[in-house]
Amino acid sequence: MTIRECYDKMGGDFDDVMQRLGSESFIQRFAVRFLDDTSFQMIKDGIANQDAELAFRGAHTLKGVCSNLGFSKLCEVSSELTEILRGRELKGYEAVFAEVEKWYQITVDAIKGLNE
Amino acid sequence: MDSEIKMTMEQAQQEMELFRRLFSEVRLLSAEELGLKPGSDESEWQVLKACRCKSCLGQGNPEEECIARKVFQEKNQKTKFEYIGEDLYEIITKYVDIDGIPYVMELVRHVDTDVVLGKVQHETEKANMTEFYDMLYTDALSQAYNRRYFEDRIRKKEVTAGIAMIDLDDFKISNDTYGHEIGDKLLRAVAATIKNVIRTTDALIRYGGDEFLLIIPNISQKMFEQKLNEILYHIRLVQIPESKNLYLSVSIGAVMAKNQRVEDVMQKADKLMYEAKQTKNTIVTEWGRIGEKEELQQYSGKHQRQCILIVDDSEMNRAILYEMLHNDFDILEAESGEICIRMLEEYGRDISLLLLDIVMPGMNGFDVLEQMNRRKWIDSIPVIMISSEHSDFYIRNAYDMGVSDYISRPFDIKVVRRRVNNTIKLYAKQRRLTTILTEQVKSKEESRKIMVAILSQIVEFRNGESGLHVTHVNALVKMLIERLRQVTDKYDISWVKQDLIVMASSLHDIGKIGIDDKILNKKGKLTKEEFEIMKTHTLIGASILENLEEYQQEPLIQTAYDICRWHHERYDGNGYPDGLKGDEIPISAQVVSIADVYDALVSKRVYKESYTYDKTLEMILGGECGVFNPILLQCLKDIHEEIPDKIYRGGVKM
Repeated sequence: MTIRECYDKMGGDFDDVMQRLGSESFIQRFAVRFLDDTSFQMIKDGIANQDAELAFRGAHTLKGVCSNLGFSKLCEVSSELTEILRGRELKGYEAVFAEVEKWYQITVDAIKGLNE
Repeated sequence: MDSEIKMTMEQAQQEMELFRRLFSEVRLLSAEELGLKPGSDESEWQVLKACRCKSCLGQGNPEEECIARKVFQEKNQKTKFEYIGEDLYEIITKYVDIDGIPYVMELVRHVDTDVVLGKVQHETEKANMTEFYDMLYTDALSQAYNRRYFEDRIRKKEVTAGIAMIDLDDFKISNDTYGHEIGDKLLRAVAATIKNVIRTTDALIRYGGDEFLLIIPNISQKMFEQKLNEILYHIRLVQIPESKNLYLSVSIGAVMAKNQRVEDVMQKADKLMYEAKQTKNTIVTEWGRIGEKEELQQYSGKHQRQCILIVDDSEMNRAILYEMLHNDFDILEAESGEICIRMLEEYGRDISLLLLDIVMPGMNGFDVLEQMNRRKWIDSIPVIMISSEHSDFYIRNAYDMGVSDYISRPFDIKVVRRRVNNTIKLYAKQRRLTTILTEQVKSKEESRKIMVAILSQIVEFRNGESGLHVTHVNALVKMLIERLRQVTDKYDISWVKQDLIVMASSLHDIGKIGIDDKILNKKGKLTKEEFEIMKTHTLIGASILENLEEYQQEPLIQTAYDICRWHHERYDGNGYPDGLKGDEIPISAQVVSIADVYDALVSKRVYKESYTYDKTLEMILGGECGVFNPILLQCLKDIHEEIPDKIYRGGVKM
């Protein structure tokens, strides 16, 4: 799978990220590094431990990373989650978090497909 | 061909003044005087009346072929010889544009027929003319060719040569900081340096204020490149004694011309020069950049890379920024606000820029900014915020707290690089300026101190004292005022005021210069009359200062006046010369009086032995030397234990 196909699969905007970051290899390298990014895990840990601050920071960081890498869909849903958690209260986030989890999985799968 | 010369009336007058050395008549003829009036078409002129040029007047009637009119309309220059009566005249007419109005400049000289014939005279004439042209075409300041030379001889010339525009970097800054005199020196030094590198047959022209045009005919590209590198190198070594910290550099734009008109190719050189200007100390040529590439290092004055500190809790975010910037900069990373502060403490101004995230655990970005404000780091270390927060609230807040720039995610790699570069450059320039200014202020301050020291030494010398009295009084005054400021703000003494008082205290006894030697250095006790004379040193000192009319408004003089006149007043009104009481006596004089007495007591004098520190304090507190301000007595008590160590160590013995 090419990097462009990977972006298509995860609902990303490859043209935009190409324009901003300028090099395919640069983008690919960082897309792969995304697999090690801990921000999604932070959201999960925050929810599990009722640590709203941690969950908020996780969502916030995830949104930032995704926006830079042009992972548009995941960026969109994590951004929504960020706003829900901004008041540092774990309330009414479930539906959006499910979306984030879903798109995180799709994104990770797409990136893993790069090596095939 | 010499065409369309634009100048101001002032320039025209100057030029005509020069011409008058060689021509008997030099004048400007307007359209009116040529008897012309503008036609319907702007370029067409109609004959209105008789022309008043030299040859028309001389012939008594207007000529068909008047060259002045012709030159006026063709915008060029012509020379003719004309007999008027018995005499032969050489008449040169040239078109000039003065402040946008067309004129003909008419130069007339009587030609001695012998001169035309004689070989020797001819040679003299030629030498005269050469000297004249040298003068006309040399820039008085830099001794390079001037702009006129360029306009007359170079602009339209077709050449095969290396052509370079050379511009002095930051000349305006040096001019503004050091003054025009130094600015002129710099320009002379630059011109001389370039001339040393090139041959006498090459042309160096001062094209504008700090812009030089260099033309090296028939040179290979490789040699030309080498010459320019030499220029770049030698300019960096130029030093003028007045400002040792000032490093000069030039930006050069260069092209190779092949049978091309100078004016056509130099435009290209000019454009390349501006490109070089972006980095400075650089040569940009048609065939690429050459020379030292030390864009950013140049600003810091150090030969090391600039260092950027990236502060973000997300490793991914740090990694992306690292990847984007590590080729050009050294990168430090901090994963929290706390670590960031520790790094700032450790590296200080070695960090050229902070890239700061907002949302972080523990200390967030705003907390970091608050610390930086509190510790004044924000003034010297620029911060760019990088965040995915887009709200106005955050952005405004960040700017309010002194960040230089705010970059939102998602960011563009080129934009980030550019903004990082711009910010670093801006601050580097500021740092450099600060260094220059500090040096200036310091050296001025230094020379002021030296002058005051010399003066006080003169007085001491005449008093037959060791020269230490003033030094001690100085130091005592400083300690007393520092303590006074801690104890009370009643006297509202600023840092500046404190420095002034300390400096002016050196002058407290200058009035003794007007006291007779016999009294001043008398071994025994003074008689009542002698003491009355001695007392006048306060008034003499004050009047010396009063005579410096020009400087009456200077704080140093005002402070020194107070001290000279009133350092023998006492708090209860029993001092001299005016019997002032309490805080009628300026605080500066009060402090000096107590310091003066203290040092007199602990030191050995012609008329007395020295007292111990404790005895001295006891005597002053006990009022044996008159009454002093109780606050100052308290201050003296407070600092008393430190005095021997701080002031008299190795000096006066117990």
